[in-house]
Amino acid sequence: MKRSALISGAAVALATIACLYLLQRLLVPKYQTGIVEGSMVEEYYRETTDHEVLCIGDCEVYENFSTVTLWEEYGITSYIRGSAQQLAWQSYYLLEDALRYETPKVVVYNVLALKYNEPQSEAYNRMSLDGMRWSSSKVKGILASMTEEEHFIEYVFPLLRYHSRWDGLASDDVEHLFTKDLVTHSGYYMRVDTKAQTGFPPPAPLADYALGENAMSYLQKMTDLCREKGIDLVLIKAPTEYPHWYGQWDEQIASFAEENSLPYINYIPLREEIGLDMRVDTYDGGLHLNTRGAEKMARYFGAYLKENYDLTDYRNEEGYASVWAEKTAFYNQMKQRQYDELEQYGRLVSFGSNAIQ
Amino acid sequence: MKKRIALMLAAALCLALAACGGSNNGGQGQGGAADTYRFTLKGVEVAVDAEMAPIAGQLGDPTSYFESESCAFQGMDKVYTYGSVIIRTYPQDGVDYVLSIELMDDTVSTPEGIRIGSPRADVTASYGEPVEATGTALIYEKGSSTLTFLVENDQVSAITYTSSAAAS
Repeated sequence: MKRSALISGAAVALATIACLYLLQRLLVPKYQTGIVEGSMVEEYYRETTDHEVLCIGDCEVYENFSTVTLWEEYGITSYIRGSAQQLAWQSYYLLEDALRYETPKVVVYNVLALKYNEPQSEAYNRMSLDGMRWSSSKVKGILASMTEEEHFIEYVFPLLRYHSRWDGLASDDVEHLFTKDLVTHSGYYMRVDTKAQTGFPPPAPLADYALGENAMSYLQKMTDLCREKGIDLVLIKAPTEYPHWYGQWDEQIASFAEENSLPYINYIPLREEIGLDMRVDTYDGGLHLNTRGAEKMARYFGAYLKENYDLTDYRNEEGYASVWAEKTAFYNQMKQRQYDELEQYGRLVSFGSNAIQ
Repeated sequence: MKKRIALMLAAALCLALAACGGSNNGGQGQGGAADTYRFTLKGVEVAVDAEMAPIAGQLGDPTSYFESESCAFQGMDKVYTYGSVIIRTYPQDGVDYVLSIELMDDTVSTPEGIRIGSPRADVTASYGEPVEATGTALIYEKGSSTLTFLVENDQVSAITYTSSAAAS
């Protein structure tokens, strides 16, 4: 009798756990169509080869540098560990996490997010943190990122957060219940469409142009971590002008770089030299580059990397070449698909905001 | 029989958990415009965290308009320019709210009569002691609004109302 009760209890417990697990799988956002940025962080774990260059940061890295062009032109193996509005502390913990799996020769950090000194938005936090594998880095990343309305337990059990998402379920939630498609090209988010830059509103005057202490402390931590691991850290500001990058901020980063013996390259004044034409090299009026622009940027940046760092040309090494041949094929296939949609519909329909379910 | 009831109860518990709760799917709390600094433009009252659509409707066509999609399509950041005043908005739950109001030149003034070029002393005479004063800024707070006067050579050089409720 007692044994029978125990078995019944165990069966009930198992059934409950299985039910909750399935519900959680169903209800958490899949980020597979339209808003794919939430899939970026977890895609990193699907990599099968290491990388000599690792980029971290927000949309100014994952939309502006073609990793496949870096490979094709220079044989550089790179990955962009980017996510939407990736805050400085998230970049640090994502870097710390990545260094559990590999030690790149060069880490590239885009500095725009240093303008944020405090947690900003749950939606963006989720996109940067939910995809991380559990580790002390993820725990610390969550604790550093939560807004006042968020609760740690909801990161541990996302069902508690998304249990009311019934009315938002779409076909992706069923199709990608257990598996996900790749949405980036080694972290690069592809857009081939074009919307010319026509101008931006004047920058808002600020009462205080000092970059926040909290954000800068994480830049220092990134610097120290890279130094400890023997990695060269490169600070960059992407060539896009909006959101506005104030001269005062630029000076602070330049000073930080000098004090820490780091290179800092602001690409905004170098756009002509790079060959960027913001009438045709952007897909959203100048906020981000399109693929044509990202390929130009990769050619220019790759030349800098090859000249200044001891990077290997892996194009003739079979193990890497076969992996990158697959990546290149996927890249070209998606590029063609996007061009086909542009030709057929005059706009992208399966990518970007038009595809949001 | 007991086993079946227990399994049914477990399933019911799962469904209840999944179905309960509101529809809060992320983002920030609702912004409000009560008890904040207010600015009057062409007879229309504008306050940070107020809904922009009715304000835009009353103000008519802006001199210029700019919008940009936020990363990962979390909404549109919009910038309306009405002559010498710029109003920026932030999206929340599909609605645009006023993020900031900037006075660009001395043709416009705050309801208390301060404009670009006003002496620093006039600001403190009109608004009292600021919550924060630096060499270049006088900062006042009311509710979720912050009113900042930038000062150069003892004269106001910029005036901005901003929301502290919206994540910047």
